[in-house]
Amino acid sequence: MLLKIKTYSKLIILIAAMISASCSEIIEININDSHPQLVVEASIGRGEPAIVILTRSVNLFHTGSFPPVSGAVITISDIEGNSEILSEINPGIYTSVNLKGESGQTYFLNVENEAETISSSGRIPEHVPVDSFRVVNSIYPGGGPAVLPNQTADFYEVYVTYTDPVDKQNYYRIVLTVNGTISGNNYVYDDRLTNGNQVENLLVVYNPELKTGDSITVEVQCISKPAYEYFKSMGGSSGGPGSSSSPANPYTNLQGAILGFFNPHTVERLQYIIP
Amino acid sequence: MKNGGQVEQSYYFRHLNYMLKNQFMKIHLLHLFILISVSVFAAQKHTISGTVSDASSGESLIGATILIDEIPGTGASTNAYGYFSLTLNDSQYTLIVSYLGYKSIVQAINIKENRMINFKLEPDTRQLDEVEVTARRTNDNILSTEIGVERVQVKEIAKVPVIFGEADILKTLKLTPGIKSVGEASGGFYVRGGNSSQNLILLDEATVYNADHLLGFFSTFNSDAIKDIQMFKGTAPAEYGGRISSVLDVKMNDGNNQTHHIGGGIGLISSRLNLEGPIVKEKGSYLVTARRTYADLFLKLSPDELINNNQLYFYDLNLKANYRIDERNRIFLSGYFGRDVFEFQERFGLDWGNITGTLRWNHLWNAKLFSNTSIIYSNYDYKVNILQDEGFSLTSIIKNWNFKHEFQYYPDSKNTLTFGVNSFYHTIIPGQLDTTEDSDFTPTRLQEKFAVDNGVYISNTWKPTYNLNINYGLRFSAYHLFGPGDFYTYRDGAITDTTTYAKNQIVKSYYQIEPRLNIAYIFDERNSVKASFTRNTQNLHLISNATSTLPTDIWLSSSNNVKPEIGNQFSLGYFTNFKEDMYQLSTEIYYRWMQNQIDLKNGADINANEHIEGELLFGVGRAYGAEVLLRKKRGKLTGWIGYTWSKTERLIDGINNGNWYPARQDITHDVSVVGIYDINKKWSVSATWVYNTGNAVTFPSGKYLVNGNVRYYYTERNGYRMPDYHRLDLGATRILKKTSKYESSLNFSVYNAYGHKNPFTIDFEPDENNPEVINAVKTYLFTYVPSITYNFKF
Repeated sequence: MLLKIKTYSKLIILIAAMISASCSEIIEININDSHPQLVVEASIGRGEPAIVILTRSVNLFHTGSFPPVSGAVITISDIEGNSEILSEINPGIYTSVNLKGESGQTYFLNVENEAETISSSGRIPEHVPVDSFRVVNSIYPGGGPAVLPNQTADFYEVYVTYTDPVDKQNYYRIVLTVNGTISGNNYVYDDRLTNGNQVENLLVVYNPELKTGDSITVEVQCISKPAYEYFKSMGGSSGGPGSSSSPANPYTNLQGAILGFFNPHTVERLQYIIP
Repeated sequence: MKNGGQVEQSYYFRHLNYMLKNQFMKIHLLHLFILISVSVFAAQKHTISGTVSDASSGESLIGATILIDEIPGTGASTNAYGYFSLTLNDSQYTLIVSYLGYKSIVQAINIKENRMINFKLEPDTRQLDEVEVTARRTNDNILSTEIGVERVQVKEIAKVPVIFGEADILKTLKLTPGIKSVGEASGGFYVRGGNSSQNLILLDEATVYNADHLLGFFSTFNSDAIKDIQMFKGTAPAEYGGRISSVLDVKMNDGNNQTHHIGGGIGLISSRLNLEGPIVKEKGSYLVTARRTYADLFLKLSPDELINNNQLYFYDLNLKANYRIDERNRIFLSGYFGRDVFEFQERFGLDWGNITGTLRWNHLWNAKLFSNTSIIYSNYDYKVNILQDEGFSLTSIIKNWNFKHEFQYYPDSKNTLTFGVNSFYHTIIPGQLDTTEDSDFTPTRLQEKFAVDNGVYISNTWKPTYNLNINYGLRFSAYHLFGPGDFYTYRDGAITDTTTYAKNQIVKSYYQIEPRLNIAYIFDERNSVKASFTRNTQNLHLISNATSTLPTDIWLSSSNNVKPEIGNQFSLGYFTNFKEDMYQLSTEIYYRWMQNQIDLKNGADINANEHIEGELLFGVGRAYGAEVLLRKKRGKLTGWIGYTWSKTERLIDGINNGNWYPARQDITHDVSVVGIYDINKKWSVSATWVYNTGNAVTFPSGKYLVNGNVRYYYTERNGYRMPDYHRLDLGATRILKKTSKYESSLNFSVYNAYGHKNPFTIDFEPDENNPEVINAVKTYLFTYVPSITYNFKF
């Protein structure tokens, strides 16, 4: 819901822009160089190996790719003393072979790269199963007939329903993938206002180019509170400084790095193929 | 009297200790002050008192001066109700009663007994340049203790060009030094480095929580209803309290008590209508003003469903009535009702508005003691409606009842005392979530908060010699937050403790002492130096997760987690007039430091969040600067040039790695030029030009990849600047007809006349064709906005 209010707050700005016939243009602006930071994307899913991706940040107007970081020593271990050094399967991409995530288990991450040491820990929560998953194709989100000639149904409303357990604080993340591209939006939810309810979350996809055979997939994750805080605080950091609050780097749950996260989570994947 | 006085004094001193412990001590303290004063002053003095009003409308005039020609530097000025009192040795005097824009009255008077005289000043209808200089006093700026005070004349603002042609006091105030606009589509303003929520905005003594209409394109103040505007950037007198940055005191007209009038204006996107007239001639009058925008009617014309299916308007209504029961008693009732309505596609609705009401009773105890008693109500609420099938609504309300009892005591020609008590009862309903039956959301009602804020204040304006004018005062406030409910203690955002309080049980109390001091040293009629110090505290805090204020921002009370904000300011100024007071030049410097400043964690939810206090970050702030203002008060060309240099910084735990950073309102250079030129009796033209350094903003310095998506890397808070802002506005007024019975005029204006594309936002977006490239995209709102308004009055 709160995401919704925020979205609509942005709509107000949009309306303000509409009355005043606003315009946009690309401008030149001077931006300082920044020190390349190590970026750690680490996760371990329930029943899945640990995956760690290491890259470096670049200057804002840099036009190449993001450099992967090879040769790091990454260890994942659990509270029972199981431990494994991850293998680098592609430049900058590391996975475990034997160690797989279990609900209720706490995991420790350790990354050693040149002079840098980064660590984190977290517990995989219990999984909350998805009750239903459906996708509705519509002209407007929420339904409604076309008002203009030749209007096509370019909206896909993705509904994901689960029943929140009443006795726990739960945090959810939905990773939306459209035709293999992961959505840049962070869909994260807590149960502050929905504790114990059956909750239907709506993710709106606007894509006029989707055609028969294309896919929309969701991966529903139950995540830890620190991971929730990370993804929630990232929401503001991809946009500009316009109407949103002063942007800042998301609250990481890593020690020794400022960019990236460690996400121990559960996994449930669902797919919709456009008929 | 002498013996009696001593007995009385010791009686009071004996009881003082007891009284100090008691909430009611205030009133008795006041008696004590009166008593001491009475017993000190000798006989052979008598008091002349009365009111000064406009002869044609009966409106009382605020700040009119009564000067004694024989004793330079002695005089009185009228208070907020037009009342004055002046005690002099028995003798023959010449009184000069004057007010800007009115013909002065010169009257010989022989004082040998107490006298009450009501002066009626005739409006000066002559062209400004024809006016004789001698009879008018225009050096109040030199002689008064006021420093850091801006006054705007309603007549003056009518000629200043503004967007959509609607004369607006807030917009005109923002053209003076030290007062800066939050942004183009925002009614908020920053004063000397404070936030927009740290300004106390009063309409007939009632707090206005949100002074914006239509996302800030208009303010809640309809200039047809306004009599007097005072803006305190520095030290506000002790009767004001509750915000740390500034006080904007707006007083409504009383209504014409001589004849009935209808006036109004028709503009492109809004219209106004006002009615006023006597209830009983000379004794009482009423005023009704109303406004409505119809911008949404134009939206209806659009063929695009996305645009025409929206509602977007506001209305407001100012009502006032007053009645003079007898020479000693007068009552006033005033009210304001305003509402903004916004509905998008029958899916989403947002409406918000203020309601204020003030009931006042003026009472004259004797020629030297004036009192006003007010009962004041203020309410602000907003409601968000999601109208889809799983719909819900979210309502948030803040309101207060305020009882204010104030005395003005004029013991002699050298002192004017103001003292009183002020008691607020605040209710905050932070969020109430109502849902439809098939909604996923649980109906939620966040805990309501109740607080009482008691204040006692006393201040004196003392003029020991011709050269010295001192205003000193003290405000004491006691703030109590009450149960019922659960109150949490947070550390690093996590709850560490929960305490349940019963109804009327005190959760937390804060006691504050706020000194106020203004000193003016007057070299001569044309030159003075002034200094001031003030300390203010604030117990209601506005929490916003946007850089511009939104109607959905929420108010928090001071609590066990949130400490009162404290602001201290020192300022120093030099004031000089030249060319027979035609030009006024003021230069002021200030230094302000602020404690317990509040910011929000990234991505924090502020709406319907029971644990919002766990999402707050705290720190300190500092601001300093210099302001220069040159005004030309008379002649065919009038106006001013203002310049401000300033610096504003914050230090908040958890932001910018704990280092000082520039606040958003850190605007280094700020220039405004306002010129109004009366060509002839029919035409006048005007122009304003503004220039300022861009706001401090946070831009990314790098980028990185998460899940295949580009994210921005930020190295410091507010380390970049928006491009400099500048704009020229032009206006012209043509008087169509002007007789004693009927007036009409046309007002033309062009906002942003040279069409400079001032950025509203700058966003960073991956290029559509090549996502590896990041573009900086500027959005600007207005290029040229022409408007035309027809105004009438009969």
